[in-house]
Amino acid sequence: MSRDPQTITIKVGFGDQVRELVVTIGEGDIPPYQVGDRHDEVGQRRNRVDAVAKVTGRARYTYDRKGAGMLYGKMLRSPHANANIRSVDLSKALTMPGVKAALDFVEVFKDRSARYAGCSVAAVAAETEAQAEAALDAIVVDYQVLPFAVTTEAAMAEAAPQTGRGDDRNVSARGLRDGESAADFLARIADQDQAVQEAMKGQTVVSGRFSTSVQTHSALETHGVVCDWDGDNLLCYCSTQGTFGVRRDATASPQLRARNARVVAEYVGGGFGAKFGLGREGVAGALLAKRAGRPVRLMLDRREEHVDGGNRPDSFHDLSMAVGRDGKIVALKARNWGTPGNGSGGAGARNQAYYAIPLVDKVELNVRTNAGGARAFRAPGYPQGIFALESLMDMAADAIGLDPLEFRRRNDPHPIRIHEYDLGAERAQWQKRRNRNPGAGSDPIKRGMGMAATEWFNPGGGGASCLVRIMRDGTVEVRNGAQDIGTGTRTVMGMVVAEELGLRIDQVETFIGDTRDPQGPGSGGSTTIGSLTPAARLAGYRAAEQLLGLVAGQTGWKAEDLRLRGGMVVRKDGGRLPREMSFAQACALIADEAIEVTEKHPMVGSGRNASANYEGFADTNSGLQFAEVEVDTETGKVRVLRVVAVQDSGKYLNPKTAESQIRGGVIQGVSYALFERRIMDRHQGHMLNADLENYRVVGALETPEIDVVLVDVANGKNNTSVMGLGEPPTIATAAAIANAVANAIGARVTSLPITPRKVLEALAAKGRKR
Amino acid sequence: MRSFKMAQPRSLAGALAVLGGDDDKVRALAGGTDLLGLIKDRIAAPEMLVNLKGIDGLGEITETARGLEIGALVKLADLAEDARLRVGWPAIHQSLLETATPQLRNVGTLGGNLCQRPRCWYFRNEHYDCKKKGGTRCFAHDGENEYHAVYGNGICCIVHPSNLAGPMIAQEAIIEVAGPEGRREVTAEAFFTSPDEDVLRENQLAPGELVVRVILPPASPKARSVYVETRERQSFDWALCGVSVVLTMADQEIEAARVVFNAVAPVPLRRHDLEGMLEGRRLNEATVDKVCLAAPLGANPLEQNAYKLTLMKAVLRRALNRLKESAR
Ligand SMILES: Cc1cc2nc3c(=O)[nH]c(=O)nc-3n(C[C@H](O)[C@H](O)[C@H](O)COP(=O)(O)OP(=O)(O)OC[C@H]3O[C@@H](n4cnc5c(N)ncnc54)[C@H](O)[C@@H]3O)c2cc1C
Repeated sequence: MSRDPQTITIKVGFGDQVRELVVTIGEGDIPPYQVGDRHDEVGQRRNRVDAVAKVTGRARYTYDRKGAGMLYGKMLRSPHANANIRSVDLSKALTMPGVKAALDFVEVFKDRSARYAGCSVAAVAAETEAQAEAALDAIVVDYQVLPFAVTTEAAMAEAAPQTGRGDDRNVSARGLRDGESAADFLARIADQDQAVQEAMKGQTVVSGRFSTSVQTHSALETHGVVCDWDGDNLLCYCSTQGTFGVRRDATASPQLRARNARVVAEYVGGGFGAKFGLGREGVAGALLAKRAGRPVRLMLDRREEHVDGGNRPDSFHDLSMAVGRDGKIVALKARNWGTPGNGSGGAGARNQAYYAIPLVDKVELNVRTNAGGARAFRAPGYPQGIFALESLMDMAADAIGLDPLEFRRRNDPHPIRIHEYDLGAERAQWQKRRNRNPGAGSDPIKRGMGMAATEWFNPGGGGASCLVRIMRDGTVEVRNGAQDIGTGTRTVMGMVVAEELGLRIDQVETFIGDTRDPQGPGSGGSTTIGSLTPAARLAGYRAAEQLLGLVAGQTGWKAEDLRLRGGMVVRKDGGRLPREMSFAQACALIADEAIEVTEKHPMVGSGRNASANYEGFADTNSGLQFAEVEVDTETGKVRVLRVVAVQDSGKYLNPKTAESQIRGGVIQGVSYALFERRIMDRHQGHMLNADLENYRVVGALETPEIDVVLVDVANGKNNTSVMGLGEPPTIATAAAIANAVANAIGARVTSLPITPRKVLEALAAKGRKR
Repeated sequence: MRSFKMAQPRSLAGALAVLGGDDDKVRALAGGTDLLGLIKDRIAAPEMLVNLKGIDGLGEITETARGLEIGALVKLADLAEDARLRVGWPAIHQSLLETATPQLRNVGTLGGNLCQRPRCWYFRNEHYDCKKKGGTRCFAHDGENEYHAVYGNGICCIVHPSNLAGPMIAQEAIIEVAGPEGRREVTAEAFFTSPDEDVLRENQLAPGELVVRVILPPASPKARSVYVETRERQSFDWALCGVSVVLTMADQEIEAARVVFNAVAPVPLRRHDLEGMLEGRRLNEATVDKVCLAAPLGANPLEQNAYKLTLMKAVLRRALNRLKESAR
């Protein structure tokens, strides 16, 4: 088989929008799944392969690893919202009962700053959890306590205390002058863009201030590790979204100097972007284990998880949009600010997205505060930015007297979403369910419907390999060392291989989450499926090729006429073979123990110009969500009755797990819309709701009916034609709900979450205006 | 979690003997759904817990000449299923259905519910030395107070957490207490302690005393009762505001009324003024409107919780409307 780049013609698209493309595919790659392909396994609704293990508790997560001889690791956390550490004294703690090791983080991490309440400063490992806790109390830390600012507003204020280190200022923005306050800066640049100012003249202009709250990831399994050393080799069970990243951290860490590290995450109790890398807790766990010469388990508790496990920044948006008489958007002006806490990232809110907006004047401010740092969170920047943008879109539609759906359609350049408007409107009964008379009527319960759009862009990338092993006894193993964070990665990886081998998913064994197996991506940016399944499919294809070669050698049939299907060796052209041969019989021909094939995600070109993807039908995958709500105008309570989620994700390899993924995104979106927010105390700077009681996460009773409409698109950007689906389904939900609330009550809540208090305040404000 | 010793008395006398007088050191343990959380959060640090669950005779519901007698260790779930309670004391029954979650109701007890500590997030955070913990300051008063009290919040802004407390007062429950000095009975209304009286506690129990029983005197056949609450989230949440209303009707006229709000004040808030407005009136739309308008009278909302005044009107309106409809 030639392994040179091949130029081929593929058919991409969906429905009646099918296009032929001439693409050069990677060295040794096989043509992408395309329009008209028929599959037996791929595209079927399959249960996730680990479903039973998960619901019966047989699946073992990092959190479940408890064993003889294991020590419990715990971290001490600063009670001050802003402090420098003068010294940490471990001597007393080290003499406490059961204590086997202790760490001073000033020494370990060379960091004297504790810039938020809950910042870790020391750690111990002891025989029992209670002993470890008692030992923490015996650690003496000398803090130099500093003034603090825990909210975005407080840190932006004129005389705000400095929240960061060195001479870092609280507010950073392009163009911000030395010594200039945020307010002065915003005033100075208010009309900076002449083109936008000009374009807005004479047009209909709508403006609004929108805001969203800090959302913590709240994955069910907290961050943490169970570490064990064998000489210089580290074995690390880790609740992670990136086994290989954790391995890299462990071997690169100057504190650990592991010669080799094996990272295992066979099951992960959720990850929304905060679980990449070993983190302080991972380094501490590993180092405690090294010092104690015993395995150590260090898992965060719920409070630590909220405070120090990452979050989505809050956001504030001053937006203005100008719309022409033809219903086309002319220009957008956006001023945004928000806080990544004391983390390193920005607060970036995406609200110049999707629509054809000819002119955008956007300025963004990052505000550092004395609070736990932000980390990537499922579509970073999107749910907050899109909430603001889509709220404004509805206001604009209203202002020019256009139906909000029609207004979007007029401004939407996406070929797939244009089709989705019709699909969604019909499924959601948009015309019928919209409230024609928002807020009217004597019944205190009002109904409304709103919508919003979503978009994402990840067809996967390089850096993934897959091992397929066909044993002489007919057993098939599919292996990759990346993790399945609950999305169904393991299942679809097995399905694409099963397809090539003519088997069902339950006839192959899948292994995932162990860095001894071939390399795989971190699960972030919705990259996993697009990176991994093309490698898996190719490995399956090559393994089948080898097996059929053996068959040909033994039978004299021509290998190129054969394929595997339905557990049999069959003729590609459907004709009859002289005799029947099953997959198992074919495997019996294997002379060695097994056929083993490892394939990488194929790349086109080489070096810096290498690309993991081909030209496809569209570079982004699109979607729409429609929400129907009921608002109790006396109690301010919002109930989401139904969400219709129309979603394109390229080719749907397994519609069932894909639907689950979309439902999960919607559920998290409902939670973001109505409940989730970090509450910081102004007096001493602690997070006050670092629990799952006052940090409310959506429950079963608040989960709406979710109607998923899959738009299957043979996208052609990789050999399985998929696009990532981790992020897109959570982007539009809160925006759609906010628009539905406005449609119900005729007053807009411009701040997330939409709590009873805010609804009542919005109604009262509307009442006053009358 | 800090370790502690555990006593397993078989009798009430045995329990009282170990309990002694130091509340900080020795604490009664019923379902543990509240107490264990307090220990984990390092708000309580008892050296010994006295497990009440082995005591005979505190887990029964019996009907006697005095009414329905409910042992302190009766699980909330069992109480919620009791048909006599459902028919005879609807406000209490309805409030139970809205208490916590099925899982918690399967473990939590009546005594524990009445004696649970407040949920104020400053009180529950070890880093805040608030008045309720013997400190000098109420952090909620000028802090984050969206869920706090709108009445009686001068010293301490907690709201009493128990769903049952309000309807117990409305339905005139009697709480039987046992201690080293013997037994005594307190009306539910007198049982709960406001911060002005003693900010360190929420009820009249002296150290070493236990709730052993709650007695619900038979309701008048002319009485109707209802409980209505609203909360932010339906699953697993606390009331933002609730109200219990008991009306004794003489024909179409309200002869006697009891109106008790919960989640708006440090102790359940009985509203004699509203009761007075109801008594002698017919239960019609005009009455409902008038009384609801007056619901938030006397409130002293803080920076973030004025919306609770609207909720008071809303729950009261629903409660009265429900009674009005059931009268038809
Ligand atoms: C997430 C969550 C949500 C909740 N939501 C609600 C709600 O909506 N409404 C509501 O009313 N409650 C709610 N609760 C509280 C729950 O109802 C109580 O925790 C429970 O009723 C306490 O009962 P227990 O038997 O577990 O008490 P324990 O935890 O055993 O005891 C609680 C306290 O009472 C004392 N005590 C126990 N029994 C006696 C006795 N017989 N005499 C004297 N003192 C005693 C204990 O010493 C302890 O101080 C919620 C709790 C949680 C965790």
